Amino acid sequence: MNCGESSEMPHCFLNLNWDQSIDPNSQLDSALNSIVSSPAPNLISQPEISPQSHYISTNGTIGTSTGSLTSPPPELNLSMGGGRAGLMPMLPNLVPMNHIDQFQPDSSFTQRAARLSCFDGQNYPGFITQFDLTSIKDKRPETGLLGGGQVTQLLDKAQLGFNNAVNGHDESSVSDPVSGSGQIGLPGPSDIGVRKRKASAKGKGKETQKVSEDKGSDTKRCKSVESNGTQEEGIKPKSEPNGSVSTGTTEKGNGAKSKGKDTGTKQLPEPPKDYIHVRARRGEATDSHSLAERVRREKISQRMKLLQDLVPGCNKVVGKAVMLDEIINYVQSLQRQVEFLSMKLATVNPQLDFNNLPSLLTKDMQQACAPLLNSSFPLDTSGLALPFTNSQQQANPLHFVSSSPSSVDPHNTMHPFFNAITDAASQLGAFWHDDLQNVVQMDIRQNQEEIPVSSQAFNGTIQQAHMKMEL
Amino acid sequence: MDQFMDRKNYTHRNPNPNYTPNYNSMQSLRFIQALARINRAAPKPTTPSRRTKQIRRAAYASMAYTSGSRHNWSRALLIRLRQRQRLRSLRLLTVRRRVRIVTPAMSRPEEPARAETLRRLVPGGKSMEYCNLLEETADYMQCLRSQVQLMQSLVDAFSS
Repeated sequence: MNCGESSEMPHCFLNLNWDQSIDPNSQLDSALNSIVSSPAPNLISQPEISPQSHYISTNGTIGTSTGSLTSPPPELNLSMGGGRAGLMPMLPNLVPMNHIDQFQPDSSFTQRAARLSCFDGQNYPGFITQFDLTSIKDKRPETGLLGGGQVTQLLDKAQLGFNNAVNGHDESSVSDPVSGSGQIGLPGPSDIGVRKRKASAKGKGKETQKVSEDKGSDTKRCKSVESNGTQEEGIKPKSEPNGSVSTGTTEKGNGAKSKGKDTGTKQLPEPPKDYIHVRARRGEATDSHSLAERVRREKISQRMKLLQDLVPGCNKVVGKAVMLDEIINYVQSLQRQVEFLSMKLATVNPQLDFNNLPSLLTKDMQQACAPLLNSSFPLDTSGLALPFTNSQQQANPLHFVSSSPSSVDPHNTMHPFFNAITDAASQLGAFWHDDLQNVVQMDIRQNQEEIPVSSQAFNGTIQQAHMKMEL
Repeated sequence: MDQFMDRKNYTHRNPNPNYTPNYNSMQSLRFIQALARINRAAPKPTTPSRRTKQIRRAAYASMAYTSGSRHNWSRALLIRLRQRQRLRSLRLLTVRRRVRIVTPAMSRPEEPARAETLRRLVPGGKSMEYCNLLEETADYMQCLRSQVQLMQSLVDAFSS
């Protein structure tokens, strides 16, 4: 299960944007891929607190995932450098330093993170996202060099700052250990586990009680935290034992959760999550396997809903099996249609008269072909220019232009015709898309080669020449 | 087809200041260019079946090239097209099987039964996990649909 989940980790990041658009954000993808694949040692830029950097690294990833955030690099570098000793081998996926430059430790960001972390109560009441680490950046310059054991204190302070920014969510319970309140008097690692969960503002008062109630489920996570020492959230390879499982599952849960809640994600374009905290719902098994399985199921159901929107006429269908059949049928029908239409095009194309092409092209071509029409073409190039025309308004001058070669004596002007086209092509080169230019140049060269062979065949058959001159 | 991938000659850009390359326009452009190339080779005796195959290949190529390397299916499609092109040009009959970490179908019990069919349909689907497969299917479906619409409009225009 763990191995299976690990490969999904990069896609958790992809899922962050799944709601917004199908087209992937290439920048985000590259950032996310770098998050996942970058080796840990690259992150070490400055010597700093090791455990802190561990947390900060996750923040870094969060920051990069947001993409739009900007932050002073030195702060993150401070924390990132520290993560070496005990954490590097366990954090192979930490983000390179250059990505962290985008991180922004504003209180406004924490507020946005808090809002983003608000759950869609109907679907994922138990899910929590981890945003508190972002606030750690605020605290980093204050704390300076810290020992490994002081990480929790640092996190508590960060949490406190975050809680203050969020204005009295249940995180106050997390900050209590720092402030001395005994609401949640968990030991250090448990604090970390609790803090992780609390990071994002849940906005529900009962969350505090839930924290204490679900300590049982947390203990598993906390135990793993303890067993792995300072090893924490962050993307960990499957090789890790339970600790990685918990964080991995939390990652997926977060991904599912982030997909689940719509209002939260809209406010923050790319939520900064590099790991997901999944909380077992009431009455559900707290097994890490079942958690991961639940996350995976929700991801799949999300994708199925997306596909349902794409496939026409699938609104009434309910159920994964029937839906899958519909999808397969639709893809098969589309492929068959491509085959059939290509057959039709093969029979229709030879008779194609490119004079009518301006009327054929859609408006989508207009952008690509507008500059071609706006320039003044020599008459001889009409045959070449026609395939790149776009609108019907300009079809008339092209028709006029294209008719002129027909009046030319084929024998006398054959070679000048082609030469003129070559010149025109070179003139038009500046206007063409590189692909178009390559196509036309190849066309011209091919026609030039054919001149001695076909000149005799052109006795009065301008149409034939026209066909050759065309695309 | 390789000429489209030759970015060394990319010295001429579209001078239109409002030029924003959206997916449909790029796809249409590539497909029509490919059609033009096929038509240019028309004087050579080509049977309709051969032209059909050429046009179908051009359709998939335009789809894959416009999608680029953003998706697994487009990458797999590009690799498959280039392999076939090389085979055709060099007359080689040996195909090196790419080594992929693929879990066989038997070891994926949690998937529905029809997932195997879907994997065969979507290019590159054999080595993807199920939820990635669904994601790729969605994008592949969109591209296929736009390609079909483009070809349909072309056929209608040419035949009228």
